[in-house]
Parts: sequence; C-alpha cells; structure tokens
Amino acid sequence: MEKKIAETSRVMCEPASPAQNLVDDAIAVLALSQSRGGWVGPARNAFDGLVDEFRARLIVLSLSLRSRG
Amino acid sequence: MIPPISVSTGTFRYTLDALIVRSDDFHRTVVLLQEATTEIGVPGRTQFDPERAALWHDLNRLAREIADVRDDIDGVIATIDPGEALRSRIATGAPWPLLRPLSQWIVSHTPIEPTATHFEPMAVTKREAAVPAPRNLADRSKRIPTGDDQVRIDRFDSDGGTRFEVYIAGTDFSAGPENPWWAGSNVDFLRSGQSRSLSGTETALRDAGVTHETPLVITGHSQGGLIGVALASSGRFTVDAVFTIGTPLGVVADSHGVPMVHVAHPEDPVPALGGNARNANGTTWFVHPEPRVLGADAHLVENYRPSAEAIVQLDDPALRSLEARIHATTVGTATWFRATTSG
Repeated sequence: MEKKIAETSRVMCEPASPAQNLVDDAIAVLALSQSRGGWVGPARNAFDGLVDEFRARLIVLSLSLRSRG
Repeated sequence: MIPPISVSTGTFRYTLDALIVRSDDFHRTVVLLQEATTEIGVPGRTQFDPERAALWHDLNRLAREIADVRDDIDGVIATIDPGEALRSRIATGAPWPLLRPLSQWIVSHTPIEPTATHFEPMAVTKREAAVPAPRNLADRSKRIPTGDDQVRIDRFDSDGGTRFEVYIAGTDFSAGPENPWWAGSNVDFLRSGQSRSLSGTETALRDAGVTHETPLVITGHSQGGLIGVALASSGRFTVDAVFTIGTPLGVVADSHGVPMVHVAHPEDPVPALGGNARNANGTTWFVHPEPRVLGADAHLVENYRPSAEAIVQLDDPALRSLEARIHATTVGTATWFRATTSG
C-alpha cells in the first residue's frame, strides 16, 4: 500500500506533458461551464449530468497521460 | 444527445444566452482536445505504441462526442432564434429557420380559399367506452389520430362536471383539396386565421357535446396544433390547456392566458415555418428525436411520441403541476371523427 502511495505521489509530482496540460484545460473549461449560474430546472440538471460524464472520462484520460509522463 | 430543453414566454433570451455560452464552452473543449491529440501524435506514424494509440483514440472519440453535443445545442439555439443560426455553424436542424422567409412569401402570394369559413361536416367513425384519462403529455401524444380519422374527443363525466380532451391530427400531405386536412388548409389558416380543418374540428366538438362552458384540453400535431391554439384564442371554448407537437411556432400571438406547451424537433422544418419560439406563448420544449431523423421523418407524430416521453421523464415541476391541474379523475368515452368530404 505504501509503495502504491509512493508511486502515485511520484506520478502526481512529475511535470505534466503538453497533452496533459491541454486535457486539464479542457476539464477546467467544462467545470467552469457547470459552475455558471442562472439557468435552473430539470433540463439544466440533466445537462450537467452529461457534462459530469464527460469530465469523469477526461479525468481518467488525464491520469493516463500523467502516468505515461 | 442533450436532454430536452424548454424556453418560456419572457425567459427565452435568458435560456438562449445560457445555451450560447455552453456552446462556446463545448467548442473550446473540443479545440483543446484536438490540440491534445495532435500533441500525442497519430499512432503508427513512428514506432507503434499501443498505450499511446489507445489514448489517442479515446481522446478523439471524446472530442467527437462533445462536438456532437455542441451540434445539438446549436440546433436548439437556431430553432429558438433564427438569427442565431447565422452565428453558429450550420448544425443538424439549423437550416430550417431559414425557411421562414420562404413560407412568408408563399403565404402572402397564395389566394385565400373562399371555402375557408364554411361549415365543415364531420362523421363519427368509432366509439370506445371506458377510456382511462391521460396522465401526461406522452399519453396525450399517443391519442392523436394517425389513420383516416382527424379528430378524437374523450369525454369524462364526474360529480364535478364534464371535461373533454380533444386530439387533432396534423396535415395529410398526400391529400388533395377535397380533404380539409390537406396542406392548403395551413396556408388558409396562416392568411386568414380560418380553415376548413378548424371548422371541422368545431363541428366535431359541438357534436360531442362541448359547449362554451365545458372545460377542454386540446392536443394537436402540426396543423392540429394550429387549430388548438386558434380554438384557445377564439374565446369560444373554455380551454384549460393546449399541447402542440410539431406545430409552427408563434403563429397565433395571443393565448389569452391559456397554458400552452409546445414540443418541437430542431430537425423538423415545420415548427420553424411559423416563426420562432420568442413568438410562441407558453413553454416550448426542444428535443432531438431518438432515433435521429431529419426533415419529413422528424415531423411524423410517431417520431414525436418518444420525445414527449423524454420530456415527461425529466419530471419538470411546471409541467407536472399543469398536468395535475387538468387531470380527469374518471374513465371516459372516446369518439373518433372524420371529415365527410375527405373522400
């Protein structure tokens, strides 16, 4: 377990690749989109659910890019 | 595929702005992901790296999916406000609002049929007892006649009085002028506010026992929706609500306070023919059809029924409240009508 944490910490501390930076920026744009106020209601909630799914998939891809270095 | 999106009278600009901002957000996301795939490099160009190839494919697929969602948003934006169609890329369904000037030209250059205001006879074709009351928009959409009959009227009697629900079919594009529900009736309607199909529907309502005082809920597809809005606006009936499906939006400007719910596919050219949602009273729901169809297929009532179901599944409080208010509590009888001159 400690070894795994150490490996993860090492990966997280390594400088990101340009591709990973771009994917992280995309995640940030989607997060910003979700945080925008105003529009409310079930349609907005369902729409945010869609964005959640995209963000989750991008985070997985970002972590994969990070582990590749 | 994006969920159904609604705009209401007085708030359409608000929703439109929210969608435009999200379209831009999605565009930025897609551009960033495309740049990321370029950084990773096309797999196989040099030494094949399966892990890198998988990442490249996953990012590309995700970028395409987000771009598709952006197209869906743009389709809704363009249908809400035709002016926005020029702003965004031409997305699925977006060209239809550009048909508006063409429809205006056709309407203004077509002579009014002298028969537009005459009494239109309707014959009863079928009756059915013990019909359950419709619970929601999806139930109502399923009751719109699709065969040779043009009007169905459900009657619900209870201690509290009698209520009616009328379901009106859309244009029969294969019919000639002998059929009041032919395409020419739309032009009559848009020019004069009268049509033989409107007259026929009023005949059926009178025959079914609907009076000036009896509460009436109207559901119509295409031309049937136009008839519904006209009946509500006429003041000749006590209309509790109007549901239109695939109907030209914003043709009748004043609903006299009658709650109205419209359903439009951005891929359907017909709702765009009347104008846009800013002129439509009440609430307009935009839903992309599933499966995705375009043009005439997107206009079919059969393809609108799953869309009505998708709206119901969203459980919108305003729609649920309206449906609860107009819900009949008893079983009723259904009667189908057909225009006797339709051949």
